[in-house]
Amino acid sequence: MSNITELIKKEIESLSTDATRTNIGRITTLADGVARVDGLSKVMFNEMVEFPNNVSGIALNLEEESVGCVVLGDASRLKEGDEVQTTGRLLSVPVGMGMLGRVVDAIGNPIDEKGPIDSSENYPVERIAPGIIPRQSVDQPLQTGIMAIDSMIPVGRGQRELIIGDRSTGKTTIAIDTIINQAKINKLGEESGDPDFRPVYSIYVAIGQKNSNIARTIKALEDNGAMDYVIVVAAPAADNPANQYLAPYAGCAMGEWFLRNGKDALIVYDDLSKHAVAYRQISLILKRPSGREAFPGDVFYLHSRLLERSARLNKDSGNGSLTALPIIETQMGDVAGYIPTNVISITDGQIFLETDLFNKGIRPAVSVGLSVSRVGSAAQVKAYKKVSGKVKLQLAQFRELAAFSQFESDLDAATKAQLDRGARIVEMFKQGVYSPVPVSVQTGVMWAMENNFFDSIDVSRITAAVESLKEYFSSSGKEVVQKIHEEGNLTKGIEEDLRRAVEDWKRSFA
Amino acid sequence: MTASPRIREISKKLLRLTLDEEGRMVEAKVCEVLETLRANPSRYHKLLLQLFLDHAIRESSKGLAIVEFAGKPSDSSIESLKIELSRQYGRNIDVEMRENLDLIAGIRVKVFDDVYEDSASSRLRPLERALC
Repeated sequence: MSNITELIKKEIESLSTDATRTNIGRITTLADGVARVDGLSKVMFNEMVEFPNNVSGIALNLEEESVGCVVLGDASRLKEGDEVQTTGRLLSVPVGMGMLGRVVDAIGNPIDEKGPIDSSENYPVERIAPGIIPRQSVDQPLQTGIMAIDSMIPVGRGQRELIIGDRSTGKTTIAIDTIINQAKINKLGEESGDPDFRPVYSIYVAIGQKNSNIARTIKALEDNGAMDYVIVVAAPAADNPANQYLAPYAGCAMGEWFLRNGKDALIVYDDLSKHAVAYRQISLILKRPSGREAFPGDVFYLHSRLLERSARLNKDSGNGSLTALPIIETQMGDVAGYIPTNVISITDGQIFLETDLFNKGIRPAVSVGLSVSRVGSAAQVKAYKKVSGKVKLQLAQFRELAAFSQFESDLDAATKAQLDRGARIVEMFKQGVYSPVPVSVQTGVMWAMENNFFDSIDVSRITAAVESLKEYFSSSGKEVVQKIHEEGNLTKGIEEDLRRAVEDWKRSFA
Repeated sequence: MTASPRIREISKKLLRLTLDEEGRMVEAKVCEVLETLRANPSRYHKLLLQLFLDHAIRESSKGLAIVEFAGKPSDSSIESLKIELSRQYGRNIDVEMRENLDLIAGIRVKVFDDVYEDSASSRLRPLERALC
C-alpha cells in the first residue's frame, strides 16, 4: 500500500503547477471521421488536437473561420458542440530498435498483443526530406534475391524502385521476398562476425488491405524467420481513411530513425494507390477543390514528399540509407493512369509485372521492356554485372523475335539461336515464392547460362536444371560460391573453379 | 444553402460598419445596418443575416473574458486581470464572472478561443490521464 501511495505522491510532485494556456474550439459538424471546428485560431498545421473521451485528431485544413480536423480514434464518441483543444505537439510515432518484430497501427500503437513497445524516442510523422548536401549517390546493392530483378533491374541502397502491375501479379510477393532476403543476409552477416557488415532492417506498411492478407504476410515473415528484422505498420481497409493516409508517413518516420542513425533500412509501401484513394476521401470530406479523377491538386506532393525522404546519406551524415519499394496497382495494365505516372516520375525506376506473363506461368512476371532501374546498376556487384550485362538485351530481343517468329516458319540459324537462348533465360528466371537466392549463387547460375552449359538441356528441363545447380552450389560447389562472395569479382582463377564446378554438376545432372 | 465567398465578404464588411474606433460593436450602428438590409432585401437576405450574426457573436466574444472561479477573487484581482487582458489583446476587455465548482479551487479565464487556467481540476487532469 505504501508503495502505491509513494507512486501517486511522486506523480503529484512531477506535475506542473504553472497556469496553462490552451487554445480551444467547438465541433460544429462531424461526418465521416472529419470534424469541422469553430475556434482553434492558434492551431498549427498537422498539430495534434484533443477531443473529449481521449480521442485525438490532427488539424489538416486551416481556414479563416474554422479548422478541419481528422479524427484518429473512435469518432462515434464525439458530438457536435464538444470542446476541442490544441496540444502544441505535432503527430509523432515511437521509433528505434525496440520497434523491430512488432506490428503497430498508423500512430505507432502496438496491435500484436505483445505488450508495450520498448522505445524512448519519438519522430514526427511529417518531416522535410534530407537536402542535397547530406546525400550521396547510390553505390551499395540491395539484393532482392530474385534473379530476374537482381540481374536486370538491380536496386541500390537509398533507391526508390516502384513495383507496379495489375491485381494478383505478384507485387507483394516481390516485396516480401526482398524483406526475407534481407533477413537471411542479416543472419549470415551477424554469424560471420564481420565488423563492416551492415544489416538492412525492413518496414512493411500495409495500406487499405484486407486484414486476412496482412495476417498472411505476417505469417510468411514469421515462417521465414524475418520478423525479427521487420516492423509492420498496418492500416487495413477497415481502418478510417485518416489512418490509411498517415500509415506511410508513420512507417517512413520509423525508417528515418535507421537512416539518421547510420543504419540501412528498407521500406515497402503496399500500396500507394489505396493511399491516394484514402487521401482523396479525406480531401473531399474536407471540401478541398478536386481535380483529375476527383483527386485533390496536391496528390503529387502527397507521394513526392513521402518518397523524397528515402535517401542514401554520405559519411559525414552517418552513411545511413532508406530504400523505398512503393507498390502501385494498375487497372488493366494501364501504366499511363494518373497515380501510376505520378509515382513513376518520382521514383528511380520501376518493376512492371505483366498479367499475361503471370498467367503463362512466368513468375515473377517481370516485363523486361517496361522495367528499368535508373541508378541501381552503379550498385551492382562487379562479378554479377559481368555475367548479367547482356541478359536484358537478349531477353528483350527474344520477346521481339518471338512475336515475329509466329508468322515465319523458316527461320535462319542466328534467329533460331537467339530464340533458343531467350527461351532458356525465361526458364532460368522462373522462381518460387519466398525462396530468394544469394547473389553469389545467382552469379554462378548466370555464368553457366552465359557459357552455354544449359544449351544441351531441353527447354522444358531448364527450371529443374537451374534448381539442381543452385542446390549443387549450396553443397558440393559451396567453395566457389564463397570465393565469388568474398572477391566480389570474377577473376580468371574463380572462372576456372566455376567451370570445373559446373562441369562436375552437369555430369551428375545428365 | 452554402454561402459564396462574395456573401461572406459582404457579411464581413457589414460587421466592419458596426465597429467603433476601438473595435467594439456599437448597437446604434448595428440597428442602422439591419434597417438598411431590411429596406433592400437581397436574394440571400436570410443567409447574410445568419453570417452577420455569426460574425457578431465571434466579435463580441473577442472583447469578453469569461472568468470562472471556485472561490470568488477579490475586486482588486478582477480589476488587475481586466487591465492585463486588455493590454495583452490590445482592446478593451469586459469581464463576466461565473461560479464553477467543478474547478475545485482556482480560476479559469476564457477570451474567445484562448483559455488560461490555474485550477485544482486542471492539475488533476494529467494525473488522471497518467493513472488511467
